[in-house]
Amino acid sequence: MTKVQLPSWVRRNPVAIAAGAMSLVLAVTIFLRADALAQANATLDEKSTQARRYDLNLTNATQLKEQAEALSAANREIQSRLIRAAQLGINQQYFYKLESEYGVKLSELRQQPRTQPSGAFVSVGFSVNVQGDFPSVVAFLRGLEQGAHYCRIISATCTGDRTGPVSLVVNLELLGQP
Amino acid sequence: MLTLLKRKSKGTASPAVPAWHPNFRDYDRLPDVKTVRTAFFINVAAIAICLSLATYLASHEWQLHVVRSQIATRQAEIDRDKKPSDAQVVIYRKFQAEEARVKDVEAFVTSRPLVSELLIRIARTLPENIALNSFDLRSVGLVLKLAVRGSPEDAAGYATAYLDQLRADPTLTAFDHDKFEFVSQARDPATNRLAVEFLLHVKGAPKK
Repeated sequence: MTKVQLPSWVRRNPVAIAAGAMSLVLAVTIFLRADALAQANATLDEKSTQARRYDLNLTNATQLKEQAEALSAANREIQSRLIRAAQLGINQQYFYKLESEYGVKLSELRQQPRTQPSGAFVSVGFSVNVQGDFPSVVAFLRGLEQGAHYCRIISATCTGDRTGPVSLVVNLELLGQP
Repeated sequence: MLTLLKRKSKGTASPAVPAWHPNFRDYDRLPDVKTVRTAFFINVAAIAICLSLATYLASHEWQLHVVRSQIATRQAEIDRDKKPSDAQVVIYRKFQAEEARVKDVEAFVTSRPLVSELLIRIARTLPENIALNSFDLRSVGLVLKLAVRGSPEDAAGYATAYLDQLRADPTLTAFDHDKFEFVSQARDPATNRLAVEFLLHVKGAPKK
């Protein structure tokens, strides 16, 4: 087909020409929009993950507010039961109060040097030596362990006999704040 | 067709030069006598290709529309949930901090056995022939120094029975029941009693 024949061929085949032109436009459009679906799917995955995370957060947090409030209340109580390591006088007063409350004789009371705080709390060590009858000594121990301050007994030596007083030497720690 | 199948005899061979005649036909002016014109096939093929591409594009665009509508739905959910979720995350962080403090206190309190409970339990379950001379709680465990009344043979039996009784005591949860040791025994000439010493290892105690 020569250049001279081309216009007449075009005139004689309008449908084929139009369809060809349309096909070309469609092919270009398909090529240009080929990535759009993949990108949209990636965006959908990302949004779905995000939406699911928010939804899970809300589902799991059904009673979170009440639980957080309960924990806050527990922490306020904890705060009120902590001792201050630097307040030597007040700390010793606690033991003298227990002494008079349970009827034992406190023969030695020593606050040990301060240790490095670990976290929000510090363990304040004490050496206590008391004498008394067996029920009083046990009551004193219970008063320490279930008393106003958090206490753990590191070592305890209790000696005595049926007739005489019982002697108790205790190394303990009270939970405090620096 | 039959002519092609016929064997050509040597005598009827075609001449070397074909017969010449003038061709005055004007093909452009002659009518197209084909039953189906070539243009028809070209048009059908072109339309088929065009329709195929259009169908593919339409399907692609429809899928894209569906995915975009899903994205819009997810975005609406995100917009709805983000603010309350962020607020809950803030509460949860506070919750974690508060929980850590409570766990610290719990770990502090439960790290050692309750000595008062232990002493009461030992005193209450002490057999008739045995007296407690010393109760010594150390980091490794509890050392009990006892005085056992009775003849040497009987006293050793009482002491062993008491150690078995302690091993079987379910309330001594802080101790390792497999590591209840009979450390020593000796006759005290002054009281004529058998002095025995038990060591009850606490769970997770440091090794000596």
